[in-house]
Amino acid sequence: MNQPSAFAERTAASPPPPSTVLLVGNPNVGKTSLFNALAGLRAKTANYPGITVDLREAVLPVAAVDDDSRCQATSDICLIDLPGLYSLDPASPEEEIAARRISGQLGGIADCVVVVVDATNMARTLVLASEILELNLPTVVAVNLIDAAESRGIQVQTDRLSERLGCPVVAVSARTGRGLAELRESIYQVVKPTKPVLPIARASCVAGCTGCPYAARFDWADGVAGASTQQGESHGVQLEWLDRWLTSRWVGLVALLAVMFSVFFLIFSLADIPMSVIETCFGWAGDRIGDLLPHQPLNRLLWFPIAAASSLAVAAGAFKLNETRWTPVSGTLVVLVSVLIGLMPLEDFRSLVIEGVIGGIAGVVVFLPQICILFFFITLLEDSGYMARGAFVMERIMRRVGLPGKAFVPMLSAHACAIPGIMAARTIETWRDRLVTILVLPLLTCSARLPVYVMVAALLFGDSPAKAALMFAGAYLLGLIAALSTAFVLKKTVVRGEASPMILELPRYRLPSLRNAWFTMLDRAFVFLRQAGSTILLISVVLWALATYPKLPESQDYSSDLTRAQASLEYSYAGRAGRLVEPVFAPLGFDWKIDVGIISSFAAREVLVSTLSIVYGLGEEGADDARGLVETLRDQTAADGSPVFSTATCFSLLVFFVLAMQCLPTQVVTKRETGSWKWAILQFVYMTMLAYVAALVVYQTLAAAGYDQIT
Amino acid sequence: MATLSMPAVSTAPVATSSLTLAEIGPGWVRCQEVTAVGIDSIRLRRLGICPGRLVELVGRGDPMILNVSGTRIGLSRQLASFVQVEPVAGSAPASPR
Ligand SMILES: Nc1nc2c(ncn2[C@@H]2O[C@H](COP(=O)(O)OP(=O)(O)OP(=O)(O)O)[C@@H](O)[C@H]2O)c(=O)[nH]1
Ligand SMILES: [Mg+2]
Repeated sequence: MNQPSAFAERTAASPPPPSTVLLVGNPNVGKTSLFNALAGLRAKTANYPGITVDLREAVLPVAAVDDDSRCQATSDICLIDLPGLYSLDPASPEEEIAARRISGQLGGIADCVVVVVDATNMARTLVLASEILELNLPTVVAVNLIDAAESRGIQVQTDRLSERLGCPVVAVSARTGRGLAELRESIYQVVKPTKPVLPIARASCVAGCTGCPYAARFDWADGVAGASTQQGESHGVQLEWLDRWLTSRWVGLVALLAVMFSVFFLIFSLADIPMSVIETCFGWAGDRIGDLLPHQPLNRLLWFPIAAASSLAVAAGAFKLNETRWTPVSGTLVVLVSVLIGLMPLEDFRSLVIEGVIGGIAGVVVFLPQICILFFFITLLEDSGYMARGAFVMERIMRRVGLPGKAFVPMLSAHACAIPGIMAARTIETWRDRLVTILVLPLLTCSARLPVYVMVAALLFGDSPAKAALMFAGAYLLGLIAALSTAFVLKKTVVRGEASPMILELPRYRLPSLRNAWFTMLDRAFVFLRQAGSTILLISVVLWALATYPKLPESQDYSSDLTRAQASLEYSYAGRAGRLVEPVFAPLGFDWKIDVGIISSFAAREVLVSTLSIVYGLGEEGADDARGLVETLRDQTAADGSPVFSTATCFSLLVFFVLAMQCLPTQVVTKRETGSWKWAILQFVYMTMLAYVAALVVYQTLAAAGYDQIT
Repeated sequence: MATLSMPAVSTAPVATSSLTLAEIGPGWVRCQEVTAVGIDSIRLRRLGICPGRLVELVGRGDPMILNVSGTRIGLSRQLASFVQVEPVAGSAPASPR
């Protein structure tokens, strides 16, 4: 058919849904780079019910490159970036998703499949192409990395390749942008509305195979690649020597440690300024909003709709962000809460907005710079090809405790925050290995623990930076040892079996692309905000309510606001709960006030410091002034005159916080990634028990040695 | 240049010396049989470690490093012991890409 009729067809009815185009290929052939080059900022994370893998998709126009640009026809496509896979027989959950998406079991049959192959390694990456071609879907083959191939003297004859494969072949470079227009045109030719989408019947690429189909495919691909590429002279891989060092037993390990150390150094040194900027911004926003809220109680009739509506709006925003569905139950709940909020006294509303909502969100967003920097560098390292070497080197060590070598990337991330660590565990192929990794990750020292460590260090070794540094190192080490030994115990008990033995492609070294790292970073940062942000909002509102209600009886007078705040916390549910659990925590050397801190930091451990500051009568601001808080804490004495924060109690508190779960957002992510609350609960139970027992041993030992009397 | 495809299936192993990948030294070998089962078998084959194909052992150790169709692959000794191989004469036969 010709174009005018296509035009008529498209304008007659509502525009047809965009054709779906899948980007398919082996891992690391540049699918994501190609996706970014084609889609730019249009990408968003696609949501398929029931799968945890984030597929990125973007709607964009593709056009015929006509002689006359005025009558250029375009068509919208929905481009989807699939996880890399080696064959349609999946060996990991991500590959399974990709395979199911290609075969149409997930989201329907695609209108076009773009198979991305690597020009520098045609023979091997064409193997998957042969499998896809046999599905008889409309296919385009994109020979990516053509720039790298040419600089290595490899010539690819796309016309010959196209002849052999029986489908359009385009040479492209996601890096330089070469061939992208031709690729768009080829896609357009396949999906253009007039064309009857008839599968092109192809002679089976691998005919008459009786034995191992893989071997036949590899042989076929060798033949095709040999016929359509010409090897140049300058083929020598100059990085051979580097690889020998990086994969060697000892040098490789030292190099890995150096790389990890540098990443951390960068995270902590670069994130400092943006973190304090974010804190200041939230403080400022809290003040501004505080000013905006009316100070005099307004007319009830006027105030109620405003307050209830804004609460509804916030809830709707959180639902949207988290992509939660509105159900009758959640809808009713939200409306009820909004009504309650509308009926609240103005004072309470103000405190809810400033301390509950803004304070709670600020508590998550401050970690965003660290997470962005972490992902930026991890993506650079991954793109360069180094991460696979890291996994290779770690394999020797990790296997002993039942973890796969690949677990080291999640473990690296978890030292900034367990949430991105758990998300990074998706690169681990088998379910058992991934589960064990996820279960032990929260034991690693994340940056939310640091405020607690800082406080304890100031209490114990305020005068000796060297000893404080030693204590920090000890806390990190304790977390690491606990994680590795837990993996070992899990291997013998709950999650039996060995880590699945390694077979891992060590990709060629490449110069990483900053653009790619930037896009990945934005993507991950958004996922983090979505995951943690909406959960934290809910948690902070609940915690705020627990620490605020019931209110103090009006009759009493207090000498100052501080004593009032202290008394009202004592009177609240959180305060009562602290007293209730006092006998449980007494053997660890904690008094009821510390217990209030532990309860309120149940959802987010960094809250401990500000809570202690309130229970000990310094007010919220006291927490910012570490010296003031530490002095106050030091002066606290128990009924018998012994100090509350004795050396024994401090160590016990430290050990407790190294090992305890105390982070609800992490548990929500564990649930999401493992698909059941069972594992999140197991994580919580074992970590809390471990923390309790370890702190008990520490306290009782030190107390027996007399350290419970001195600070 | 390997323009002619190699035999798709390994011809019936003559006098199976049954050496495995885990036991050999650096150099080129031809895979004869992959005795792994289930997912491990798929993981090996789809990366090109399948009967009839040539692979080069580049670095010994556990995990070891192979060169398969021009790509480096890290392979644990445990999996390697499922791959029966026969040595091939000469160093790099006809540049198996
Ligand atoms: N020189 C060059 N490098 C490229 C090109 N396309 C991608 N790369 C690089 O190849 C590496 C892998 O790219 P990705 O886009 O992450 O590959 P992928 O196929 O999405 O990988 P998976 O998602 O792991 O399957 C990165 O270092 C890219 O910068 C290209 O056309 N030329
Ligand atoms: Mg990708």
